[in-house]
Amino acid sequence: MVFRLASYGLILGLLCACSDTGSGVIVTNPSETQDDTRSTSGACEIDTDFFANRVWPRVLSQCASCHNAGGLAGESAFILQNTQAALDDNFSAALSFNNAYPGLLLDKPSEENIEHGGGTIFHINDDNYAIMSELLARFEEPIDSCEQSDEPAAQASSLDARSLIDKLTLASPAHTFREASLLLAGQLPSAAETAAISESNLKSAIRNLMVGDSFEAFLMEAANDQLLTMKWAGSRTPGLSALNGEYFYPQVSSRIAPLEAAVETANTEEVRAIAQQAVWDAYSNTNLALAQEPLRLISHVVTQEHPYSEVLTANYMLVNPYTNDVFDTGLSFSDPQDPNDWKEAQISSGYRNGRDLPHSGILTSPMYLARYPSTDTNRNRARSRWTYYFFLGVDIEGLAIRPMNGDSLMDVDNPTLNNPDCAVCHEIMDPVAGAFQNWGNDGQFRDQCGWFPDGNHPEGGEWLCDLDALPWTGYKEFFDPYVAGDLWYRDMRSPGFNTTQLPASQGSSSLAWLAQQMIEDARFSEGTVRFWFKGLFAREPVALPGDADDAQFASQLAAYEIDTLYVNEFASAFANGSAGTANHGAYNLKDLLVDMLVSPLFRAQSSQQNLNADEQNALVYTGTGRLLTPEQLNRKLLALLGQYWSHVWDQERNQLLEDFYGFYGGIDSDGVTDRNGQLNTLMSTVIERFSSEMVCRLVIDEFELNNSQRLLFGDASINDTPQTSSGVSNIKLALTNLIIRLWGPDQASAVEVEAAYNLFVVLRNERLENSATAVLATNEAQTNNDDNDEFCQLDWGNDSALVEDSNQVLRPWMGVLMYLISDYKVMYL
Amino acid sequence: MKRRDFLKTLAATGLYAGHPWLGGQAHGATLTPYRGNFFVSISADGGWDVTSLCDPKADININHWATNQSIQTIENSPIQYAPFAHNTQFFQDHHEKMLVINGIDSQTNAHEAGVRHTWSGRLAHGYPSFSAIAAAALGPNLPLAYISNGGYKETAGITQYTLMQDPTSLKKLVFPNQFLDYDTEGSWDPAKQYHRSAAVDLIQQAKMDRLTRLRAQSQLTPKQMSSLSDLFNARVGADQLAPLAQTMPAELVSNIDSDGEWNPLMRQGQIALAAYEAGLCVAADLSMWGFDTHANHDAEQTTSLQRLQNGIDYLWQEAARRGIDDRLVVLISSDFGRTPSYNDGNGKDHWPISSAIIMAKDQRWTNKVVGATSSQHEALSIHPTSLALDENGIRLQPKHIQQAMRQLAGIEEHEISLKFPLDAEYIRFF
Repeated sequence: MVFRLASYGLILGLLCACSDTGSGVIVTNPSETQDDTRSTSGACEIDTDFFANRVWPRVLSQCASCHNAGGLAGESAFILQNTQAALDDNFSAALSFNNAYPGLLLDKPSEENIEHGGGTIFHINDDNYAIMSELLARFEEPIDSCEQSDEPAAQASSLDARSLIDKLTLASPAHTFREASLLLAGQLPSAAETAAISESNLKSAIRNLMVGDSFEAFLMEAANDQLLTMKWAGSRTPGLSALNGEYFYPQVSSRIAPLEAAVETANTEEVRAIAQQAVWDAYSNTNLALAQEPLRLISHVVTQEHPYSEVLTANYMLVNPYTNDVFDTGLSFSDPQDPNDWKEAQISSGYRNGRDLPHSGILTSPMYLARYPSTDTNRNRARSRWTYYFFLGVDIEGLAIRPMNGDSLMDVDNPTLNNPDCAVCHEIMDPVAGAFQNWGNDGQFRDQCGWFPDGNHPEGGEWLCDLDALPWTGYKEFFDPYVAGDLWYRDMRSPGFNTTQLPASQGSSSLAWLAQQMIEDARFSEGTVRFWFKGLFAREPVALPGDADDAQFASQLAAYEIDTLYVNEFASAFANGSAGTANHGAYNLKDLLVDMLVSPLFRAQSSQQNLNADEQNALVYTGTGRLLTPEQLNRKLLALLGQYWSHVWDQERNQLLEDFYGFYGGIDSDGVTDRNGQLNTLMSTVIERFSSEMVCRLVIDEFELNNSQRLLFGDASINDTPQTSSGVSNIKLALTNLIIRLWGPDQASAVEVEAAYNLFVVLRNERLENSATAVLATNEAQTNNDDNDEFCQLDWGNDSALVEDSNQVLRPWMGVLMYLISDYKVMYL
Repeated sequence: MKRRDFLKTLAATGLYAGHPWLGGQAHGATLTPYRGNFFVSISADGGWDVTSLCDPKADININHWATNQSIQTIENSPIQYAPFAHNTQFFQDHHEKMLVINGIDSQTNAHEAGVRHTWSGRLAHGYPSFSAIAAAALGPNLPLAYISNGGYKETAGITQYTLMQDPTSLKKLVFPNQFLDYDTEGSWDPAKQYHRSAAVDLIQQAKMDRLTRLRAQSQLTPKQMSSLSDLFNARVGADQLAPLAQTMPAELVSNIDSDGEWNPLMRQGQIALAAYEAGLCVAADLSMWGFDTHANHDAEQTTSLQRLQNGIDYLWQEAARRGIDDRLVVLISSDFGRTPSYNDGNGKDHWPISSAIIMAKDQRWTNKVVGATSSQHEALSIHPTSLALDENGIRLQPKHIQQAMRQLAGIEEHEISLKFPLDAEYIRFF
């Protein structure tokens, strides 16, 4: 059976569902139909259309989220492909399953006399039950043609993922390279560099951008947007506190304690102030380094071109001089004050009792474990939930989008183990929770005491500490089911992964074992794509819509299908080594990022044709038009203007990253964890503010330089005015190059240059007509007429400094620069 | 031409297209301050224990306080409360403003699902919060119509939320052309603006012209159209922020409450009220963490409830001080409830049955309790109009609370509400 594209279009309106007129998939918008069943809809559909229009989008797409190879129900007899592109195969899979297990396609999801691991999906009276009933009826009596039917054809629209993407046009290679360079490297490529970019060398060119501090900053920001360990960088929730003191890390204060002692012994206020600053600097740098540790590990793995799986399997952590002191790793640093010197290290004796701690990448990171703490009853389940989410792309809580059985929710007989309704999550969550068995609630290794068997007392007679992480209160104290020597709860599922139990020999290195299992799991590559998706596209992948009655269900499903299509493609290439430039082996993250950046999800720049409402909704997440984060905008400003937005009285104070960071959608990784990707009014005023503040010094500094030294105004002089033809020419040339620099070459049209020129002229004319002062800063407060005030920080003490402009061009240039740097093309990518 | 005049011109010429949901109506230039009710949703993040709050259970297996204390009552009120946290002061001071709704079945014990269900009325993804719907329906042109402080803030594209946690630098954004970094105590009299007003007007006009050209391109992708629309609406709204400078307090309330606890709820409320008083805000979400008390429940839930109660108390005091407490409507709820028993760690785990409290001043529907639970904190069904217990009646769910809020706001039949039907049976809450 082959699904074929029927002729379609909003303008055409109706579709003859019975005709074979193309290739692809036809999806009927649920809002356009009054009923889902053949008997009452009044529309004839052949089986393929019925499957594509109703069965898949409304029912089986939900089933497929678990019933796919590697999915939560991946071991069941009913396996689908989790994509609309596989309708033929999924139809066949449903038919085969129904032949093998008649009736279960209805009984399982409705839990009619049989349990369903995923709980009740629909009830007998639900629409979706009727859809599946009709599907089973069609299995018995197929409808391959509507030619004899008097029923009207179903109205449909084409929302196939590939067809939708084909309606968009990609940005040019040069444009893509420019945007990728600004995003990844914080650099504006030269004209020569962009001129050399073609489709054939785009991938390698983008890959070459992935070096340097800005790229590492990009990596760590994107990783932190997921892991949120930067919570520990601040003074309100300092990482040092999360380590729980010298009891666990004896050298935790080895750097700070002597500095604090120096404060106490200071004999003058000046000495004391210096000593206090030293304490603060050490404290701040240590907390920052602790918070960054798992992020630095990721950056290290990526920039060293190691297989990305090493973020889980690394038998080391990253330390700089500050955390090296905390963890007492035995390494030495040439400059013990250099916070940017990071090395691989192991905690081989710096933990309690000189314990050699097992390392397993992020999984054993003290800050990761502390960021996702546990309790005596949570029993590492939160850690399991987030580990699945970050590294396998499995959202366990996302499974709970249907009402759960009320009795099950109130079941108090160890429901997570015994109740099948609870098992849908806990069956996969609890074994991995068990694999964290050696780490206590706060993230310390084997932080409890308990009974352990010895030669004389094989059932438990020796009270020993530091050998397990099970709590005494509420568990061990009852000795039921606890048995001396246990490392994990006996009233939970055994530690493991999928259906494999943790080998007894791996008890001390359970997370290393788990990491190996995870990286060998088919979902690891997809999980990696999902982890980096937000960093590249400033959003999470579209979620599978849950309610088929939603008016926009079909278009949302199509949006989900688009993302799923690409996630699968990216993941496949990432896993088999064909991603990017395809010569760095499997699991190379740079290559994955390259693939993502050359895809339509990043590059789609224009629409080939008018799109109907469904198509617009389906494509509203795709392509250019992403709002830059404050960090990314800061790097872009630095690249475009040569400086960041500093405070008027403090050049070191980056206002975008400090004073206005929260307003512009920044996160604190604690209470605020989601970036606001949609510009609001206050965010727009941040743009207004920085453009108002920055331009005065920018313009004056530029015009104080020789033309050849300038970054922005190399083509104009202070003597160029619109009153001479050469002046006009030079001003327009300067504007053209400014637009190219700030907005991109594709924006430097005659219309835009003329508009910018007109703004220059009207700004200057206004000054001339109103006899504005030639002084570049003025205060008319004494006349109570602030409308004419113009603040600027001028260098009055320097005779060669620009403080006046008798030609009245510098203030117009400032105005034009305001106009240019507050533009959509600067704020968005 | 002044910027405001320019906006008026745009509006008159129809170039001032609004958000697609708004049917392209002009806004900004014709804005009038919002003076309707102010809707504040307060989330007790993590799952609160209502059996120690407004649905008290005097069973020592459920609550340790029942060992030697009993359920508390209020004279001339059906509202009961547990002898726990700051409940006595909280309920005694505010019961006349309270509609307590007990026995709400959240149908889940997963946090994200519980949050989504409680604040959108639906377990599935995609529905906006009540705050978003109210903001879009009642303040479609307002620049700060929806203030969020975290928690569930899905907008489904009908509005934008603003996160405004630390307004220290806010005045600089309200007046982006003003130089404000001089020492107000000193004698130096600096220029007050960065650029001449006339120049700013010309620049703004050029920027709007440019944006109009960008939006007029024929081959924009849907994402570009959406982003340009965001930028357009944001810029237009910026012109309306000035009143905020008058209502924003010169000094923010402390983040430390009367119990000495870090308590951002008070500052969240203070800022939200200032935005409302400026006529710029319709709805605000406030959030307080710390309710997921799987261990050491009594102590930790007490601390969290006290912080919550201190924050709510401050909210009403500040609203009264500003003279707007008669227009304040507060909804308080949580992901779900907590088990009617202690676990082995003296904690309480997740329990689907919860409560909500709706607060408003001088209403005939307050000082009342709707809904009930069994002695073991199981939800009981009620008759939708008599509100009496009724085995064949309705088991309350978050959708009923969300529908009630829409009803309170007078937007249950608004086109935006109808886009997100709750299919909730009518309950005579009011």
